Amino acid sequence: MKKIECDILIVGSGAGGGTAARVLAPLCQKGKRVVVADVGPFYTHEHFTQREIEGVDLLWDEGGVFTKDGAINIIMGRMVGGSTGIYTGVTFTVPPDVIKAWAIPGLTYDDLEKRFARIKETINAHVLPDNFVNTNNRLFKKGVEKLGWPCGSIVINVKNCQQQGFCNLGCTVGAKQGTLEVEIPQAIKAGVEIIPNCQIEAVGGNKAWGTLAPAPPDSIPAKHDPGPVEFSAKKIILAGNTFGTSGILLRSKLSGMSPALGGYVTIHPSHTVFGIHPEVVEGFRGFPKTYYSTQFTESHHYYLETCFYYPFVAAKYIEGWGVEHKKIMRDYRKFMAILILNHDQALPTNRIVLQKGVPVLDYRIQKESIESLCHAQRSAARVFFAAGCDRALLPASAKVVLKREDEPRLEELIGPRHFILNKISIASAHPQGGCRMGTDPATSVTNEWGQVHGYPWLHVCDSSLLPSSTHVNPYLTIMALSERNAEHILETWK
Amino acid sequence: MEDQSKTNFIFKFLNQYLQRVLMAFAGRIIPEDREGDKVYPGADNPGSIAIIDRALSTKPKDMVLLIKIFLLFVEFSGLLFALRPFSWMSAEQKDKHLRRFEFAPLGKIRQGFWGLKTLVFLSYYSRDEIWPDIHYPGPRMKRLHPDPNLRALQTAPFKRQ
Repeated sequence: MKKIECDILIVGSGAGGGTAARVLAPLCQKGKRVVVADVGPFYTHEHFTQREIEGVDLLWDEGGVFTKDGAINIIMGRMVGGSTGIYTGVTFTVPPDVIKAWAIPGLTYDDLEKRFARIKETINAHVLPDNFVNTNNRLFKKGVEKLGWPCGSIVINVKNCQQQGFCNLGCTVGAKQGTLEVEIPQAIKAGVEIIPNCQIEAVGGNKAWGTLAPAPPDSIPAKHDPGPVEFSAKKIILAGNTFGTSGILLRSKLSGMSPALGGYVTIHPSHTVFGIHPEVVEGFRGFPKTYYSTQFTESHHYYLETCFYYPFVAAKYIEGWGVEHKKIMRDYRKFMAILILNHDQALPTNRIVLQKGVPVLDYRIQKESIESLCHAQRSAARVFFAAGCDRALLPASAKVVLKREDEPRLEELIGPRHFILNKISIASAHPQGGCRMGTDPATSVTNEWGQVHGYPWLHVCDSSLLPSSTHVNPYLTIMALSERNAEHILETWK
Repeated sequence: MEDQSKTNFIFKFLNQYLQRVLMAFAGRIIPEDREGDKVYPGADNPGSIAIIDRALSTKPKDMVLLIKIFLLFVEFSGLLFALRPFSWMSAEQKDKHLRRFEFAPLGKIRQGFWGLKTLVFLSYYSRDEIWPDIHYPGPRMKRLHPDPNLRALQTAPFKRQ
C-alpha cells in the first residue's frame, strides 16, 4: 500500500475543497505539505467537447444517481473542480434569514457578507451585459414583467465568456470561474499537490484510506501509481459533498458519531419546463441564464430561473413518448425554458445511508414540495403564455401539451394528482446537509467551525455542512463557509 | 455477447434477444413517422441500441442486471395481456402495454419504464444525423474525444428512405 504523509489532506476539490485548498495553500511556503485528493479525473477545459453523451463522464455515476426511491435524479460533478465544472456560474447570495435561522454561534451574516463580496470579486461575479441576454431570457423577462412579477438579473461568475452556451457540459474556453479555473490553479502554483482519481473509503486516527485509480485518457494523472493508498495527515478536511463526505464518515464508523450523520439533507427538487413559442428562440445558443423571479419565494417556496438544455436532456424533461413527443422535439429551436427550484425542508429522515458501502440518499419528497412544484408549474405556464408561447409542456399536467386556451383551467389541469413519482422527471443539482453544523452533537455532526464533534483532526468544508436549504443556488455559501472554516484551521495551526 | 448480424456495432451487454426486445421498445418510444415526403427515422435502429449498450458499460452491475430483468419483464408480461411477447405485438398493442408500465401502481415499475425511456432518448438525440430534424446545429467546437468509438456511435448514419 502506498503511504503518503502530509500536513493537510483535503478530500474533494469542488466549491468547498477548492476553496479550502486556496486558503491553506500558504502553508506550503512554510514547508508544510498540503494534498487534495479527488475521486474524479483532472480534466482541463480542453477536454470538453460540447456533446451530451461525452459529457456524462463528468458526472457521478455518469448522471445515474437517484434517490433511493428512484424518483429524483441527482446531478453532481465528479471531476477536479467538482460540480463547479458543470454549473452555470450562478452566484446567488443566501438570504440573511437563512443564516439567522441556523443560529450557529459566531456565524454572522455580516461576516459572510464580507466573504461573499471578496469571493465574488475573485471569481469575477457580475451581472451580464445586455448583449449576453439571449432570446430565451428576453422572453422570460417579457413574460414575468407582463404578469407584474419581479424579474432580477442573475449574478454570474464568468471571464472572457464567448457565449458558447454549453456551460453544463464544461466550459470549453475556461470562462466559467469555478474552482477548476481559479482556486485549483492558485493552489497548485503555491505548492499544493492534486491527486485525482483517488477514492477515499474511510478515515480514522489522522489517517485516510483509499484507492487510486488509473487516470482516464485525456486527463492529468496523479504522480503516484494506481493502487491502495494510505494518507497520514495532521488535519483531514472532507469536502466530497453531501454524498461523498457523509459516505466516508458512515463507512468510517467513528465512535461517538452524531445520530444526525447523513441526516437533514435538502436537495432543491426541481423541474425544467418548456413553452413553445411561434418564433425561433434558439435557447441553446448564447448564455443560458440571466434572469430569475422571486414572486413566489416567500409564499410558495420556489424560484423561477431561466435555463436551457441540450436535446437529450430536453427530451427527458418532456412528458410522454411516441409520435407526439417526437413532433414536440421537432420544435426544439422554438422552446422557451424555465427552471423551477423548490426550497425543501431539512428533515432528519431525509438522509444519506449506505447500500453495499455506497452512499445513497433516502429521501421522500414532502407534500409541501409537491404542492410548491405544482404551483410553480402553473406559474411557469403563465409566464410562457405571457411571453407569447402558444403551448406549454408541464410534467404534472393532465395533458402533455397545454394550449393557450387552457390557461383559465390551469388550477384544474396541473396539480398533485398528476404529480406521479417515478413517472415524471424531477431533478436536483443542489444536495446539501448530512454533516450539518451546530453546537449540539445530538442534532449536528460538525461544530461552528466545521470540525467533526469529538475529532479535532477531522473537518468538513462542503455542502454537507449546511443545516438547512440555502433557498438559492448554494455554491457561494459553500465557498464562504469553507473559507471561514479553513481560515480557522490556518489561524489555529500549531 | 456477440455482434448483431448485418451491423458493425459491437454489443457487450445485450445479447441478440435483448437487442430485439429493446429495438421493439425503442421503436414505440420514438417511432418512425412521416410528414409529406419526409421520413423521420425511429429509434428502432441498431446504432441507437448500440449507444444504449455502451451506456450500460458505465453503469453498476446491479443496475445493468435490473435493466435486463425489466426488459424481459416487458417482453414476457405481454403473454398475460395479449397472449404474445411484447416484441411480437402490433404497434397498438405495444403502446397499450407500455402505458401499463408508465402508469403502473408500483413505483419501481414506473421507474423501470422511465429509465429505459430515458436511455432511448439518449441513444436517439445524441446522434448527429437526428439534429437537423430538430433544427439543432450541434456543438460550436469541433473537438475530438479520447474514445473514438463513442464518437463513431454518434456519427454513424441511419438508413433513411
